[in-house]
Amino acid sequence: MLRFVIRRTLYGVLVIWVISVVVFVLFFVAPRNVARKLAGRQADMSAVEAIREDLGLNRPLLEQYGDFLWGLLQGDLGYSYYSDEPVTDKILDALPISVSLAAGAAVIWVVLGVSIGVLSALRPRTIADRAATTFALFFYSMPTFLLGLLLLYFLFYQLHLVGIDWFPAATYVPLTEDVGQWARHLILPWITLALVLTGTYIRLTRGSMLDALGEDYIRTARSKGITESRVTVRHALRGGITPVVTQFGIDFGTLVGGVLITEQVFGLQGLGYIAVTSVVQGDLPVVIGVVMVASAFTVVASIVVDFSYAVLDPRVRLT
Amino acid sequence: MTAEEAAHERDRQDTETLLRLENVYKHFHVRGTGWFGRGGSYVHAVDGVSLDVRAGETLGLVGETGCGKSTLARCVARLHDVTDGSIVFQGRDITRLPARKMRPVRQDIQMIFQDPYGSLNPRRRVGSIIGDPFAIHGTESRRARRLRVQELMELVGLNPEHYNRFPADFSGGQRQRIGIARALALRPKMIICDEPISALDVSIQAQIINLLADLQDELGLTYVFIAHDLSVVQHVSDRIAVMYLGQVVELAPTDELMNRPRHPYTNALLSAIPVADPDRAEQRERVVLAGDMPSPISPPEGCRFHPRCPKAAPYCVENVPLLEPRLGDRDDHVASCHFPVAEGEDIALESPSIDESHRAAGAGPPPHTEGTSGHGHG
Amino acid sequence: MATADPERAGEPEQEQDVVKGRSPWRLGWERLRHDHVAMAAAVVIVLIGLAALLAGVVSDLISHPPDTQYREIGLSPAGVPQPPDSTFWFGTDGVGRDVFVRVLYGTRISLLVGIASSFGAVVLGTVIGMLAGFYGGAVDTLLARALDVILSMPFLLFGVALAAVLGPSLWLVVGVIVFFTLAAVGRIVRGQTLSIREREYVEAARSLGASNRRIMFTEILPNVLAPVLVYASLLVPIAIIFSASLSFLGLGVPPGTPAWGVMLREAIDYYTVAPWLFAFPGGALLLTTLAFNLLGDGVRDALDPKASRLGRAG
Ligand SMILES: Nc1ncnc2c1ncn2[C@@H]1O[C@H](COP(=O)(O)OP(=O)(O)OP(=O)(O)O)[C@@H](O)[C@H]1O
Ligand code: SF4
Ligand SMILES: [Mg+2]
Repeated sequence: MLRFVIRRTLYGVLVIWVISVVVFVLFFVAPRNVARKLAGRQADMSAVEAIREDLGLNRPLLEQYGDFLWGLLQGDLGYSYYSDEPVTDKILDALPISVSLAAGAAVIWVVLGVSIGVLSALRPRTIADRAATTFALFFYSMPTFLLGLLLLYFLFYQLHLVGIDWFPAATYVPLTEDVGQWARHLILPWITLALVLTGTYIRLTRGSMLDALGEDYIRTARSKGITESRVTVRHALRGGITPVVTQFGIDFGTLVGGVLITEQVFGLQGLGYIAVTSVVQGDLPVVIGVVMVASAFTVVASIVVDFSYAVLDPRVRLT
Repeated sequence: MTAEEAAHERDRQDTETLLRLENVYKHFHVRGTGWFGRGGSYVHAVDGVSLDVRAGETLGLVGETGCGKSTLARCVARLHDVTDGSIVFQGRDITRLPARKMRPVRQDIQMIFQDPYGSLNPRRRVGSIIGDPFAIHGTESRRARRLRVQELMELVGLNPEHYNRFPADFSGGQRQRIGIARALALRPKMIICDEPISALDVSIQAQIINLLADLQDELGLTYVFIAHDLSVVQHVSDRIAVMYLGQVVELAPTDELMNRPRHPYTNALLSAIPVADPDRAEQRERVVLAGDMPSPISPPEGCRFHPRCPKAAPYCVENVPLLEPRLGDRDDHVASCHFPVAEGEDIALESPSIDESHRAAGAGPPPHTEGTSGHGHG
Repeated sequence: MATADPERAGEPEQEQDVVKGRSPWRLGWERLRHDHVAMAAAVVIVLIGLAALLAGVVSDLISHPPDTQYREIGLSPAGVPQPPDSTFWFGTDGVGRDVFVRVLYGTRISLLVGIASSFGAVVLGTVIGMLAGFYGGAVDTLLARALDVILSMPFLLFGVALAAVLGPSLWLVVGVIVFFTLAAVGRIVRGQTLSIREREYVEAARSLGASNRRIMFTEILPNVLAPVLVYASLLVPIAIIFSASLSFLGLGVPPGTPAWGVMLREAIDYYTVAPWLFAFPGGALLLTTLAFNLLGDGVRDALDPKASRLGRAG
């Protein structure tokens, strides 16, 4: 087991390193227009050169990469071109927002997705199952930003018009300040994100539960009482839950690294939000910082998934 | 024998020997679980096999599952590269022929596979499957191909009109016929039948066996016929080779092998055949072998059969028996056992004279010198 | 029993009425044809396709080009967009353009992105997956690891960042989608190839002297095609949503293009006064993704009932 952990972790580090190379090549080698963009439209050549020099963009590539990697290793992601703020600080400020958003939504989508999935797997081909499948497909097909806009329009704006302000929009209240306000301000984004992902989880849970239960079981469950079938359900759930865990790890890891669209729609200044803003501004250090942090989350998530896989499913060989 | 005579003798043999295997080894590397796959080991799937196959004969190849029969077959068909040794076909060493030069040879060596469901691509029409050899070797024009395929289908007893069907539309026996038709397409000299009937219903097995026999007569084919027990092989083979853990342990003409099985393992295989005649059934006790076949990753020392052999003696643990005539048998009956079974001897009643510690230490004086023929041990 | 292998059914030789066997594709198509939901979705997709083809014709017929700004008749004196009426069936947008015509033109971009990127991902993913699975060894290690790395990159974030570096364009969007989805296709195909490579029919082809290329094309490809096709059909809506999302962030197709994502972004400024600005492009977008997902589910059930379910993060 220990060897597996070490090996898997080393592999994760390798992946992150490859990503850092890709990121570096993309952002430092490809664009010639960063300095120009920063200098503004009317700037002359010398101003552009000055900025290039200022940012160290005129140094040899390998040297730049060395600095970049060295910085990464020390947790130093450089300074924002715009605010001169350390990128690490910006990210640390934004992280709680993204985590709050992802964690709250995760609770909703997992509870909703798994329970609906299990229920519809237990009663396949009934009206309830059809309804669940339709619900899943509908939200699975729904673009996040569209759902966000719809919720904003109906649950915020229309309610607001008639004087009901249950769901305030925008602004983030830190968890440490006021738990109630924190949740209240996040509820619409949570619903948005959760509903969009619930579809996947319903489909996944239903599918793997059905596989695990097998056609035979359904027949016996019908002929026997529910009490006895409960035991079997627990068995099936354990077998059927593994793909759900995998999916959850990947989704959660990705989301913590920035919920671009939901944050954008609701004006929450999480990692995704600052990423988009920095992209628009051409603030490369921030973009790179967020991309690296987000990639790290994804890699860590996939490692955790592999471990939990090994724990959940004893058939997985630890090599 | 003078040198000239010897050379002559070799020539004569070469003309009638279609295939000659000399000391063929095939080891598979299995990756270990250590860092970077270290701690790997080797599966000794085929471990020094020498065999001749004569033109026109059927050579039966028998042995338990996992003893390396398929691996040997695949080496001959050059689906595997051998680890060591040589394969001589029609007097030509094909052991390491590059793919391009191997292509014409492939026309002469064909295979029939065990699994009639797995050996036909489910997404292709039967006509195009049977026509594959023509397409690959470009031997027939497109137009002629269809005719030839239909001839082949008729030859193996399929309805040529089913040319456009898919494998799923056929039963197991019919599919095996499709496989046979494909193997026949290029008029091969030799066909390796790797357990061609063991996946079939008993009622259909006989049909396929008869078909193979008819085809042999008609087309002058040479067969290597693989099976995991003797019950079928004894009826179709001219000679039989018994394999155990990657090695041939006994080789003899069929009657000779059935009447005078020298190797205890052969005896065990023989006693496992259901006998119709109740007298004989009573006469012969079933030899029950101890334990399972050991792992081919680390085959036992000395005689590989010793951990399971009812006649095992300490000498067997230390000394590798050679494959040679025993107890005054003819040259064409060879077995690798220090204490071969004599006629009338019932090894079901025997018990090994080695115990665990002996098996490990391999102690004990040799009761015979190597290669001495004479009386059985016991 | 329902779970028995259908291939093994009919063992006693029940002959002989059918001479020409029905291919697995035909059988799949026949199953699909009886799936009413999937067929309805297919009809919707055909209609969407027609809308894309005829967008220009329709715009000529009602003589409303997609980019013309009808500032006099299309905006109220205060400069507010007009709600739907008999002139502007879907109303007008913030600068007085005909939303109906623009929604029609939007089908073009969505279908183009959806189909082009899923096609690209499938072709590249299949090639990579087949090479990796077939040759094994170092080639496989390298390719499989590369796919791992791609799968570890946050998809949308990279898309956004790339748009920043290279400037927003339609083909960049397609390229990004292809790059990030080919890994999933590649994984599926690699897994399939690994198992098919060991089948006896591949061995049989090899013993006949078939070249590697022939084995890959005639033996392996037809067998990986079914799961790949299923994946491709489910990839189309994912690509459409992704490209709309990028455009919504202002980083997809260039602003001003009649694309649904762009229109929805522009609608935000007016969402209190002109809800039709997001109702129509949003409705069209949802209808399209729904139709493709329904059809994709049908294709999966028809061709490959055991194919894995897709996930997506947003
Ligand atoms: N490609 C391979 N890699 C590693 N080991 C292999 C490989 N092919 C075969 N082996 C091993 O070699 C040994 C011989 O296998 P082989 O298939 O030749 O046996 P067999 O006599 O044909 O058995 P069966 O009756 O089951 O067909 C087995 O232990 C098997 O596990
Ligand atoms: S050599 Fe010894 S162990 Fe081997 S088969 Fe003969 S008697 Fe048995
Ligand atoms: Mg075999």
